[in-house]
Amino acid sequence: MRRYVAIWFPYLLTDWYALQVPARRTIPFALKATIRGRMVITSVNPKARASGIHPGISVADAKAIEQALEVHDEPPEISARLLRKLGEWCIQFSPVVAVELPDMLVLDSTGCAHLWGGEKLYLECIRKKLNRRGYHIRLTMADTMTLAMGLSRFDQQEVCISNDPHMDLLSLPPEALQLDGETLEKMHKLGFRCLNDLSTFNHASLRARFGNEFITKYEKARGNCEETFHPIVPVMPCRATLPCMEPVTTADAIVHALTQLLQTLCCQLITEQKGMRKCTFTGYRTDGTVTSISIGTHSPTNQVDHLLGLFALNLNHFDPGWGIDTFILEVPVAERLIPRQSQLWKQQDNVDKEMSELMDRLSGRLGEQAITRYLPAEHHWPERSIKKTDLIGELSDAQWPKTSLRPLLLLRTPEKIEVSAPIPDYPPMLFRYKGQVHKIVKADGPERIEAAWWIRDELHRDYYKVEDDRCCRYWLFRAGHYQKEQSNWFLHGFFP
Amino acid sequence: MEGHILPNHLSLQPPLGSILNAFPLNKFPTGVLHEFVIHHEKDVAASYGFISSLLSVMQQPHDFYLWIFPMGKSIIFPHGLTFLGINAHRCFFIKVKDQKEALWATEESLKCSALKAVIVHINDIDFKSSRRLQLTMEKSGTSAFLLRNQKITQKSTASICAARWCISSMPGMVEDELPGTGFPAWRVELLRVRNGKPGIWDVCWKAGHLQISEIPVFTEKRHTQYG
Repeated sequence: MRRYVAIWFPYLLTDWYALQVPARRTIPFALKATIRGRMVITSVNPKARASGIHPGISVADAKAIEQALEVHDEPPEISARLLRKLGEWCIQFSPVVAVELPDMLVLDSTGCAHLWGGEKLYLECIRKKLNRRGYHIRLTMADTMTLAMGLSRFDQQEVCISNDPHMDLLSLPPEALQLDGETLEKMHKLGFRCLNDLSTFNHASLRARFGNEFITKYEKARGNCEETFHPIVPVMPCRATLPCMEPVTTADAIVHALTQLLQTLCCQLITEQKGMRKCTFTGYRTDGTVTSISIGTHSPTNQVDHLLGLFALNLNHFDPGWGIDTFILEVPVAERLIPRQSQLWKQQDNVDKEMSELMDRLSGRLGEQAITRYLPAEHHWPERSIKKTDLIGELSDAQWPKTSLRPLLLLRTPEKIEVSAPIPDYPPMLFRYKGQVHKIVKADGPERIEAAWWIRDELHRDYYKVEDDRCCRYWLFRAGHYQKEQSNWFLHGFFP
Repeated sequence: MEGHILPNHLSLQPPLGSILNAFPLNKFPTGVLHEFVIHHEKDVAASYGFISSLLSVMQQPHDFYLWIFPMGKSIIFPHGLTFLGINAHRCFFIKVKDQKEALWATEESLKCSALKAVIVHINDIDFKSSRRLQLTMEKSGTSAFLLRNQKITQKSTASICAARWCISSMPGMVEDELPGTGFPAWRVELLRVRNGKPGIWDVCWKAGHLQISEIPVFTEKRHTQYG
């Protein structure tokens, strides 16, 4: 005999919202969504339900019933994600857990209850733990999934154990079988209020009247027909453990352990056609403390030698202390690694691989921030005309505007310079930078660059490319309009 | 015999005019160390400019370049590189904290044969380090362009570079007395070249090409005693 536990969350979403702001427990609270152009209440909390608001009525009506009602937009797909998370958590009660949208979890707890000391204690434990997490629930244990789900919804008790499936099933209304609206309406019209009323008819006439689906579901509830069950498969973290017989302290032993773990994990990744993007090597010391180092890569890889090289760069931070007895290698981020067509693209593929391995080594030692690659950005403002981009990839679509009026070296922040004899629409005759006077001989410009309209507090800049008497070329600008001696001049770059 | 790689005879030589005559077999040496002496801060932009234009005339569509420069007030501006014909999105820029990091990063990147050239701005380099770089380059074939700040002393002339250059700015080349700064121009001095003969040229970057005119050495008074 199989046993199933159905957990119904009557206030799933509002309970979840109340977890974030506990004050929402004490006020009427509801969620809304736009359905066919109407703003409709989709879920309510117990307080709102008590004042007569139920899912399906429009927001305006709900506000009219209860003026203090707080209404929020329902995030899309939220209940599926929430139930999956709760389902993964419920694996502690039974290894096989399924999500039944929109608001139920079903546990196949055949042979589980005795571990908690009986069905009653088992259900009590689930109820207590979920209530402590802040969820209202109704729990039922029954012989079939359909019956358990029906009972949890339509039986008024909070915890219910079905020992007589036949009688329990007959007491349920037809809605408990999750039939479609049309069939249900037909049943109500004919006066069938509970399944007991239907049990006197033979199957042939019921099938003729209500269709095959009703009979299938009815038989499923009675346990005469196989039920489908889609258990949640939790994502298994990619990790490998290496326990040591004796605590190790030497560098050779650590490298040996790392190599062994990398080989294990890389083999696993290769079979899954994946490559790691991040990897953490942890050592558990004998005194109970932990030491660990991490690496990151720019493109997914499962090459042991390359990864070993990356770890070697900061292996000196891996302090074994009094000895390490367990090593763990974990891959928190892995990505799909598609083996490219090796013959045709061999050369290009090798180049990309070599480059990305170089970038890994450099950023491993110098830090992620130290390396940059730029793409053009569609801005005139010089500081914004380039954008940082991924180190690898995104190579083809770059179109750089070609102009001789951009310097080769750009100062991060323009530096103020002292000028003399400024003339409107011309660069100054001389300027002083770092205590040295530069006499301007030739000039190009002005090129006026305005800040984007959404940046209000920046003055426009009039840029000049100038050449001084020592043949050096500079990029100067005047911030704002010409104001005789009060104009502010800045140096922003150096031309070759 | 570091620095003695004979260039590939089949490879197409860059259009560098009479500069090529200074090198052994009239081939521009790649996969070796080129050293650029920076006497003054203002020479940095000029040296970068000349190196970029050199790389630009030798550029293949799939080349990668790596620039290593000290963390400071200025950055290499990709739009400026574009003007000198470099595919700026195929350049990687690395900021380093000190000399040690710069040398480490240079050596690591020179191991990568996918890179066409590594351009590094460094304070000083000793004989041992430069030899290490040269040995690394010989395996990968990547060229290194090294800008060094320090004034050359007797000690540092022992560096293993294949060519030592000094670049200084010249007045921009103006055509037909048009106003403006004109095309960028530099005085290029090849102070020392292994198995070649040094020389001086005036070089101008114009419409995607280098215009090169040689200055006869005997008419020019040499600035430096280490030729």
